[in-house]
Amino acid sequence: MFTCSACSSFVPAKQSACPACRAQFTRSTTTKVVSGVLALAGGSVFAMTLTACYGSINEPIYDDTGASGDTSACTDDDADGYCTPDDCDDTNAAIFTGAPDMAGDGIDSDCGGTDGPDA
Amino acid sequence: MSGLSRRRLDVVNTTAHPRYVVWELTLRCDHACTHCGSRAGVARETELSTEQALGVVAELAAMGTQELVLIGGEAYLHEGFLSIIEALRSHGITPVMTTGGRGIDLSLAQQMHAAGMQRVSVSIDGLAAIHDRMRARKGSFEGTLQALAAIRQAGMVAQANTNLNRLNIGDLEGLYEVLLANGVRGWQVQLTSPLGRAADRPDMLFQPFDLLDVLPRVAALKERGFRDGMMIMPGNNLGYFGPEEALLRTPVKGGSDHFQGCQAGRFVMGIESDGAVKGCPSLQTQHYVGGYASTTPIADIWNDASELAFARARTVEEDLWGFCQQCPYAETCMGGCSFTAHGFFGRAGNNPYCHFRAADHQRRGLRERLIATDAASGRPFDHGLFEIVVEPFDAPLERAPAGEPSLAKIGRKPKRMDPERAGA
Repeated sequence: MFTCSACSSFVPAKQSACPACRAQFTRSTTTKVVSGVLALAGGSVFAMTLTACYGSINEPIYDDTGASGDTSACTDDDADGYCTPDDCDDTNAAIFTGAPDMAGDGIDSDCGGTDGPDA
Repeated sequence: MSGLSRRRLDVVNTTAHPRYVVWELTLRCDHACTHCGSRAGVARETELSTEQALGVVAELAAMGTQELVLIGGEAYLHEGFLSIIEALRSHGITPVMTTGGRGIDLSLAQQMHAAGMQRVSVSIDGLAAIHDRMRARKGSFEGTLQALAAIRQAGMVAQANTNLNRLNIGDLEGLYEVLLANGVRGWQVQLTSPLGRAADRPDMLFQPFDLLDVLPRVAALKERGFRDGMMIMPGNNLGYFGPEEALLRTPVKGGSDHFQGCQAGRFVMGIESDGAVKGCPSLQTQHYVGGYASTTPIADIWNDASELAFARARTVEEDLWGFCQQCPYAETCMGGCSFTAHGFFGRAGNNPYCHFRAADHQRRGLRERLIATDAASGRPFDHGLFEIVVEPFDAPLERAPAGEPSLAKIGRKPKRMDPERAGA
């Protein structure tokens, strides 16, 4: 998905115009959502927060270890949606537990302890 | 693993497993809400015993469940309620709960917390008058506030969830203020769908073009929520792909998440109190139960039942129809929320509740209007049928104004009226 710079709607990759405002776009006029996702919401373009009817939401400040209301228990400085300790590098939004990890780049993107996908 | 990351994952490259489960512990309830999809009130004829339920917990843990929402009816009316919370916790599954809150006093809240309950979402569907009307009980609203207080006092996180429809939409912004003032910092909002008792009340339901008003208002509240410390997230049937999509779907400010299609049977599972296993708690029982946990291992149901696999390998050409098949977002959205679409037309794949769809019609000077045709059957998680009319956007329309109490009246009697489940 891309983001239309004219109206902020999502633009599927196969579309040559924004479905919402019909603005024609080229790569120079769009913001690539992929990079946005990498910077803000996680390395995978398919990342999402599961939800269901009758469910409750996950507040980013909430820590499942039971420190309810203890906001100091979870920090997310790079705003990638992952709190320490699940984020082994909280200065880089592309690095967190479960992130895509390309072997050979020398970076443990998925916090598995090694460069490349965990076995 | 942090609370956020337990439910955040790559939905394309992760093997399907029931990571997030919603479990109706009993259908017995101390409310008879006008919009209840399960027509809750009395227990089902056969419900899982505590011993059976503890077995379910073990099975789910083995399958990789990370979080489980106990619902009903009212989950606390099941005799094994606290034991099941303890078992979930001991198996490494985060227990949470959704409740009407009527029976939650400080004593019960403390017991829940001691057993391992982490957070509780109280269903609050408007300000006092409208909430009590929807819940069919005078004083219900005050009860929810007392429940919120008890939950917080006991040391748990108090949240809220709201079903939006024509009856309560006028209370949306006022309810935000009330929730904020009562310590709620997490709020899930979704649309009332034509399921169960809501299917008997078609006038209560939104028309598709109402989303042109509703979605921007929810988005505005989400912006306020980021400033006020209130996290608002949409349920799966609130959307899709309007200009506010990224704002609504991302739990962090400035993110770019969007709807990724129905996750029923992929990473979500629903269990009814008699052990019926579905891909999602709201899916219509008649069409989507893959088996019963009382007689079949849940893993076998999950892996082998076609009723749970429908969302795992769909195509635009085979599984979508109507507007959704031609939509530019078809491949990603795949018709939005499956149970909502099925509730209108008896099959998924064409969902009139869509912001992009409504806006696209408006751009062409048109709107879609839903007309109720067949009545629902009168059983839990049933549905009626509707037809769509496409008409000029400014065509005359006679309907009761939003907020009018008469919207809560039964407008289409179910085929089988069970007095114990009929509600108000």
